[in-house]
Amino acid sequence: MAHQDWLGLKKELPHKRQLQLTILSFVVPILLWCLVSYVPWVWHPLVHVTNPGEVDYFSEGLDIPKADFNKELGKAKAAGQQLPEGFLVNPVFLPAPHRVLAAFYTAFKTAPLLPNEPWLHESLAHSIRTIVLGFLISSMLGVPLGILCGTYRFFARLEEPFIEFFRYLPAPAFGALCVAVLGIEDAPKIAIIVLGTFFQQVLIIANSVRKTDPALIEAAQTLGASKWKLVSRVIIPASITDIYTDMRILLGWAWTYLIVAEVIGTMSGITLFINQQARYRNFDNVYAAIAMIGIIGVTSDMFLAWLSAMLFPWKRSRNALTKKKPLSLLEGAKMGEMPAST
Amino acid sequence: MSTHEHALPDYKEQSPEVAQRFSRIYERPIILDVQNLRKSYGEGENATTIFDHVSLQIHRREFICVVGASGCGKSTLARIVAGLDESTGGQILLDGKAVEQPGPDRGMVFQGYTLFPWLTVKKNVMFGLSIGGENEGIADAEARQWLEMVGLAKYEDAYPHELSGGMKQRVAIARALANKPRILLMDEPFAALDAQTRSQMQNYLLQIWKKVDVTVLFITHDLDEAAFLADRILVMGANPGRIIEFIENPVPRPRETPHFLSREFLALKKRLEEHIHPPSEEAHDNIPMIRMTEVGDDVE
Repeated sequence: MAHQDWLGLKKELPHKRQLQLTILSFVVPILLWCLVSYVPWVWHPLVHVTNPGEVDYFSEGLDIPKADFNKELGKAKAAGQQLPEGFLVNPVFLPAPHRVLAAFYTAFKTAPLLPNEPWLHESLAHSIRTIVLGFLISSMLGVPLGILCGTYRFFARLEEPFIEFFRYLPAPAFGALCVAVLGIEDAPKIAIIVLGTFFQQVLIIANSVRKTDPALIEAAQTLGASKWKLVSRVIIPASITDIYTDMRILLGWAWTYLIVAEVIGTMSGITLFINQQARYRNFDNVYAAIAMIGIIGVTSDMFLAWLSAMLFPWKRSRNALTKKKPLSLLEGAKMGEMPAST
Repeated sequence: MSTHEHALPDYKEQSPEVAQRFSRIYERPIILDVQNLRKSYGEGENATTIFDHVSLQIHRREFICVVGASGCGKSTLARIVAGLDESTGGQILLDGKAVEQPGPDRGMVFQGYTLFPWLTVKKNVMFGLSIGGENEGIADAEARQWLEMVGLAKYEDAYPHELSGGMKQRVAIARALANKPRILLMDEPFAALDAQTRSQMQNYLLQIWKKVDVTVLFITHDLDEAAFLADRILVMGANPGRIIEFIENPVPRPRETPHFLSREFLALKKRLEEHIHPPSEEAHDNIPMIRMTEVGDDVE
């Protein structure tokens, strides 16, 4: 009977089991990666030449497809020449896990090749600054407008049809325009993030605000609240937790715009770092940098989830019977909603 | 059943104390005066009338219950008095002044508890006072007092989701009363509670009403509840909604649970039953007998 518990329909799993599955969700892909990297007969399509022998176009350090190597090896054998030597490897763009792991440390220690290039930590800081600025500017406009549209039909009818249209325009399409207007430094990059976030933000927040239980508004009216007090004392507090969750999801979207934004004008931030490292064929650094984006994203989201519990104590249950542990790292976030323009 | 019925007195028969109580009530000023109220949706031929010709006068500190079959518009009546819905005819006077908008002079307790989930119990009770610009310290002290009145003083810092349904509704009552409304409108406030909690809440409500100068208009579909709580019971009929009878409750006060078995109570209940579930209607409601079992004939 016990094994059925794993697949109970709509049944909450015990906390220990949830944790096991969370770990497993990371362990399985990493194991697959290890399998491909460390077991020589899995994939490994290339031969890394250690000794070219007398094959004229081989040289030490060259990666050659297995079939070509064997052909030349056969020819050399037949001709009685010195045999080429080598061992099986994966392509350079798939480094082994231990090398990527090491790169998490070494990437920070690797001095840039050119003096005007940024270190990794500088690239990351630059990216974070771009995203934070873009998100703040978008939110300063988008949150109030979203609340207005959610509260008053007037603003919803006035704003939402246009925004609905505009959000289908992919933000990167405005890249050239942004550069023409705002130059090639950080401003156009921030603008792309604003363009990518703002329109979704208004619509999503307006929707969350509209979901306010009308019974709460009526109750407040019978207690003497009207007009602005209904907005400030009922509608906003009633939807603040949903707005907060919306913002968490939107921040995730902003990260997806970041990489596009950073290639606009002069390439900058983590995108510049990734591109440079790819050019130098330091693919371990490339993977480490990509993974870092994920780690920064998830940790900031976990921090925001924790902060949410601090900010909104009424969402916490003090009752031990109804206490629920977060199902995943992204507890409370509505998954599956993706921006229309990606 | 029939022998029992004959033993019941007429529901209009009142003991001298009850009759005296009513004459005292009618001497009090009229708080709420509903005049020829009408509510309909749509226009012209498509118009649906919810109710029409609804008039009633409620005196200070009176406890009025409204009962009626579903669809008679009893909840709509309360919502119009509260100002949450608009009437399509007639008018409502509160202390002689016409009301149109919702306002703090008409408190309301809803069936769904409608407590603000982001506020603690005490802050919920303070809500109306602080909206009205009351000094925070005074509002705080008053809220405590009201929570004590409904027996929830030690839950003042709890959030609504931590309370049971009955407790939530007590907070909602305290919140409405803290605003010192002229009339307390209650729209099936106990309908979502289990039977035990409901009867407990009815007792609580009478105790609170005894201590507070408040007039109550209580909507319910539970005839026992109406008979237990009300001074007068407004019976409404449906299609279209209208007043059928305004009954003076012959059950003496103070009332306690044993009154559910008193002769006056049963006489009143019988009258209400006749209005709400007329025997003529029940005749059509019989389920055809189709036998799907061969054993258990003794259930008949």
